[in-house]
Amino acid sequence: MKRQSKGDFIFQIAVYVIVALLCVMFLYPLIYILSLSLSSPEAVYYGQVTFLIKDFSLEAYKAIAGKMEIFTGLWNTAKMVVIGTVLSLIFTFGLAYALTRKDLKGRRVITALCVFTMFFSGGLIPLYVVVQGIGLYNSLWATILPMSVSVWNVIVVRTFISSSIPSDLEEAAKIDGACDFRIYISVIIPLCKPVIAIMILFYAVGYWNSYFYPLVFISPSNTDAKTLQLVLRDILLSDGSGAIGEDALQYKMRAEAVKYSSIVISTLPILIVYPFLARHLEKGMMIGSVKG
Amino acid sequence: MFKKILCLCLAAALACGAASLFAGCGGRKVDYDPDNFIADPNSEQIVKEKITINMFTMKASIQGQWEDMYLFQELERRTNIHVEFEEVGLEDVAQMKGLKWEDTENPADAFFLGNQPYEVAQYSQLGALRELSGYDEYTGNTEKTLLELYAPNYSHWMEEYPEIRRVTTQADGKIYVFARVALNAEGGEVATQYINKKWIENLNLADFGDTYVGESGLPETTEQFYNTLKAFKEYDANDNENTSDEVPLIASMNDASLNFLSCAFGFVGTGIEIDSRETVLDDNGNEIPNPNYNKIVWVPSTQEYREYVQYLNRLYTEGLMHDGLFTNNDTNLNSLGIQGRLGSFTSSGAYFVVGQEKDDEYVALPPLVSEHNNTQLAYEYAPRFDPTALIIPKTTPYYREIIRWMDQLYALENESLQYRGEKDVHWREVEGLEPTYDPLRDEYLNRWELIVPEGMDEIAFQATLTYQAGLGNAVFTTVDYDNSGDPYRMKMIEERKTYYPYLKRYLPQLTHTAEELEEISALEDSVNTYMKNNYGRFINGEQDPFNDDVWAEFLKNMEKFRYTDIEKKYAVAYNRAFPDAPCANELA
Repeated sequence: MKRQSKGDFIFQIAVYVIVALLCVMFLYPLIYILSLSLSSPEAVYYGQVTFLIKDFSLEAYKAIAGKMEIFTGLWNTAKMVVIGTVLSLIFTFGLAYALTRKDLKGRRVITALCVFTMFFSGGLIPLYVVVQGIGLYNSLWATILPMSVSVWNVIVVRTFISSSIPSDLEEAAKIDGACDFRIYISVIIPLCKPVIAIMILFYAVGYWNSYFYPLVFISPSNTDAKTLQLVLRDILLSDGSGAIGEDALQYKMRAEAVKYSSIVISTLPILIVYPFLARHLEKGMMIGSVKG
Repeated sequence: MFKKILCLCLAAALACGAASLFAGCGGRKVDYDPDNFIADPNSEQIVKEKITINMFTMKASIQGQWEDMYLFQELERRTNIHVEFEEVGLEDVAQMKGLKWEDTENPADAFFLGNQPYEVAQYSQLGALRELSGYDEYTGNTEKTLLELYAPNYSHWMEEYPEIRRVTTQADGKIYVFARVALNAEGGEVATQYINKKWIENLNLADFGDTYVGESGLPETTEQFYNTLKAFKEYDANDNENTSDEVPLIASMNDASLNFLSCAFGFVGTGIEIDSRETVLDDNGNEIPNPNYNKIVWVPSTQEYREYVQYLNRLYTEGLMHDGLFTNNDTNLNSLGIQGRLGSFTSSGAYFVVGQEKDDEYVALPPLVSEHNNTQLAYEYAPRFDPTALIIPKTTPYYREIIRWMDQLYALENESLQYRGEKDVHWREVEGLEPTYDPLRDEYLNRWELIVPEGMDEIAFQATLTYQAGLGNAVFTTVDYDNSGDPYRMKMIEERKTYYPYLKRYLPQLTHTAEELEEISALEDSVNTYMKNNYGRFINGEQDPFNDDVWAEFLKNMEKFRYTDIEKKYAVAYNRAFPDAPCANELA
């Protein structure tokens, strides 16, 4: 093995230092929140937790166990994520594949119209009127359909298909007697696995974090349909103001501690799923970046 | 060719969008039976057959469904009206309310709580609101207004307190909104500026004449306050053999500590305000009539404001004020508080910050006076009559029912329901504590406590009874309901009373037209951005408020932002509201 030059050595050290610093930067808030959620409400309220757990206590989690709305929210969000992601994949890949086909008439117009929506939109009130006009208001669909296709993702998928899957494959399949639909299902989709993984991640995280559409399109009085992010926000904003009586101080303390345990509870599922998709993420980021 | 097709497609898309918008503008069709309504104000029941009314409202995060609250279930039992609430969290109200007006499927019959003056002005000018001072269209009776006919309780309070009529009357002379009415002597809320009395005693500051404290044993002037803070910083005030861990004063840019300090110089805020001081002090300390008495001014343009930022600059640059002024939050505050390191801070109750053990070290600091200002002032958060309680869109046929329903909340006998539910079911009287006198009912009220079910917080329990829990005052209040026997809370309430004699709002409540409001907010936005930017820089010393040239430049730039126009616009609205006692501004 060739011996490293001094310059290389310094460069490598610098890289390690920078990566370590970045690592600390990203890990610190995660560990800090975890420590806060496991510390006693009193220590949290009086800002005594700096990094590690202070006065270990599960009180914040106990308080959450009593909040049914978190579990309702989790269930609603899970439904939204699963149904939404499946639909989004169907729409995105359908549209993206169609746009790669040279025999599609008006392909450029359709692309232009899609891209147009990336820059211009009607704004919130027209969207609200449309959603209500077609009877989606206050249903799960209102939180899924308006964000089911992201033009950005369509372009990524289209570029992937047109750059990584040779059109000769389609021709070969056609000669073997496959119809268009068969080509799409049996040839194109199996070859798209890496980009499918990325799209699952993008869409699923998007739905998981989506907050605005559920806020606007689900009636506030329909508490059974609240998604996790809405429930969480309610909890995070509650600072115990207006607390009365002898336990006012305790109440304020608990309200502060519960914030952190709810953050942990709601982030956990994504943290668990993420490592399985992370290796695809790296690949996905490069999709479409090199044409060749 | 391609361009042509694209243009056609876009045009078609726009046309479809426009068509769907207009399609949404149609009114709602309801089968309304006018004979179902019971007009007799003596009857608790409002309708013969039960009806459902949709109300948009704002809620605190502690609250559950409003329909399940005892207050509204009781009202439904009495009136036969079922109210379906659409409760939106406080932070989203503004946006969601705009959308609700577009809702044609299930439009709101009324908007309960939090109706801002600009909304009332705008929607009333668009003709979208039911005029409460108008007439009943079903009977054609033009002798009495809707309020006179169907809101006897509310009308009674309007008679007793003409200011209610004044603050709710719009620029067109009509009334579209119910006001929140707080008749309890103290009305509005305040925040208390706490100071550590024990530290003052530890350092024997009273032994130095009037250098640090006045006759009350507490600082009374801005100079005494400054000297006291300086002593806190320089010596070991908290007696822990460490002279450098004391934080003499902690504040954040948005908290009430800054209001407390600006009050000492003659104004409760740093925006538009009426100068209400009858006298001021000249350079020799002699009392003279205030030349700007009853004048509406843009505070940052005044000499008082300059003295105020100079004072803050001294506190900040000399390290008497915590250097996290621009970043402080509650956790910082509580963290320093529990360690016993705070000299002075603002809070609704000291024990929330310093814990129960150290609570008795802190006392409320009465309003200070300064070199040229001898009037004690304190900032009042909420006005006694707030024109925000309820508006009714013109599209609903149920306006009479809603007015009668709303009027129930203004009945003296229903007031307590809005705070604590039913006696001996949800609350009970506590014996052995000194009762409080209620001048309105001319009787003594016993202290009381909620009967909280096992395993429940008091506030959570209260939130199952009434909408008031977590939101602050109810729409109608005549007595203070802070009657519990908790000693920390009682101390906190007593301390608050320190400020009651000196309370002042920026301006009395004024009504404007939508156009006036638009112009005012455009002007205020730009001058405020400039002013706030410099406010911070004057405090932290980036700009020198003692330098005359810098100050002249600041004034000149603010003039470019036309602050004088803002003063004039407020003056016009003021003179419209008080034609008999106009303000001192010159209106060309």
